[in-house]
Amino acid sequence: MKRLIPAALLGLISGLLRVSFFAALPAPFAVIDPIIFLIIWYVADYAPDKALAAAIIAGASIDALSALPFASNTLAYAAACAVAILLYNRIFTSHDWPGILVMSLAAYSSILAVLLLLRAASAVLGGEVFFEMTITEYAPQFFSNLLTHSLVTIAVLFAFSILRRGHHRNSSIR
Amino acid sequence: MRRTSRNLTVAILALAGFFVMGLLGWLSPVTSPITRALTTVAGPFYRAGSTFSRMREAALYDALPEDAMDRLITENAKLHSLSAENEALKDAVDYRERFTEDLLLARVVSPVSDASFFGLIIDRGADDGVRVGQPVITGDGIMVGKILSVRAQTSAILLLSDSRSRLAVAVQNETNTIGVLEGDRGIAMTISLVPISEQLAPGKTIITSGLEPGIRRGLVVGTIDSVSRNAQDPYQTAAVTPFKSAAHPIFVQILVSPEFGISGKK
Repeated sequence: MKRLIPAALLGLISGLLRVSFFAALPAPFAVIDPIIFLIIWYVADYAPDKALAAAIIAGASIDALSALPFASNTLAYAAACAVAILLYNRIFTSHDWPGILVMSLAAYSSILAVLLLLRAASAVLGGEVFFEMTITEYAPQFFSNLLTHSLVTIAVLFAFSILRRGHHRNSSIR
Repeated sequence: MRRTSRNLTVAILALAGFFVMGLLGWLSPVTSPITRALTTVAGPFYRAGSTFSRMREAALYDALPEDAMDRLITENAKLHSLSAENEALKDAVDYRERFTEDLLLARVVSPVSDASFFGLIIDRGADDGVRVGQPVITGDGIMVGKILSVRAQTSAILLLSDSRSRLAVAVQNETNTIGVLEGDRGIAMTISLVPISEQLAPGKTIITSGLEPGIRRGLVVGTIDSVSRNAQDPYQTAAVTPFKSAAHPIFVQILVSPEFGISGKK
């Protein structure tokens, strides 16, 4: 249990950054979701339990500062974590770029899909006033966010590979 | 692998249970203290992001002294409505105090980050007297939206530019044209179905008309950017530009009017 604490703390920080800092930035930066990168980092590091802990704590911190019913975002990020784990264990078993990119996109899509389903469920069960969104309104946002997220993922992977190359070079000089 | 699958299944089932409990409002006693703590931490994060957005906009749109300009337009609009109101009040025998609401200061902790609506989350909720429908202003009387939903410690504001937003407004022209301001996907605001006989012109200030229960006359909303008319159409449409100083508010004020009951709805 103790070994999950750092992952939970990182999840909390990522959740707060996502909901307060990144969401306040102008497009396309507003789409950046550090939680997904944290989840994929842990999944690719063979630590699915840490990924789940980070996803749950991050989702709960977003739920605390959201208008949606509590546990909506927690459930969405847990589902994203489940998708990432499933893909990593069954399909993309190595740390290659396309695999990480597809995992990131699948995780992000599952978050959007689960939140949409939960909003529909809330509208049916709780009668919230702000969930009356038509598919023509939602679809363009969905695809635009997905495209931006894929570009952000590529940028993060690129930055990561440069950093790693620099690190290897420094290590070999020493 | 089997252990991971079991953990995931248990977690997702438990969270689905929490979701239903959250929907029924049963989690409020547990979540309220957590929310209170997180709003304190989230405020500075939001401020940093919001400051970055303002700086970027200022760089993109040639940094005019927009705050000073907004202040002057707001003051001018106030003077106009105060003067008209003063005349009306002088004539009225049964004068009574109209503005009885209190201002409640709130800190914005997050913009709404999902695609359901364009809004803001603030650190004041039902425990502080916030109710659904109350108007929210920033600065010196610039209206930004209305309270959409309320939790114990936080509330969600529906911005005027959201497609679901409707507000009874008046144009500060000779005839005090009234109309309904509608939002458009978070990016624009329009007043439509204004008879062609009414004089609408770019630059005119839009204020709340006072016809909507709980929202007094004279709150400044924006200025007319352009007017579109069609020779065959008996109506005209005005595009309204909001004030730039209201774009990324860090603090807002809620007009807590006694007209709003405890139930949260009028």
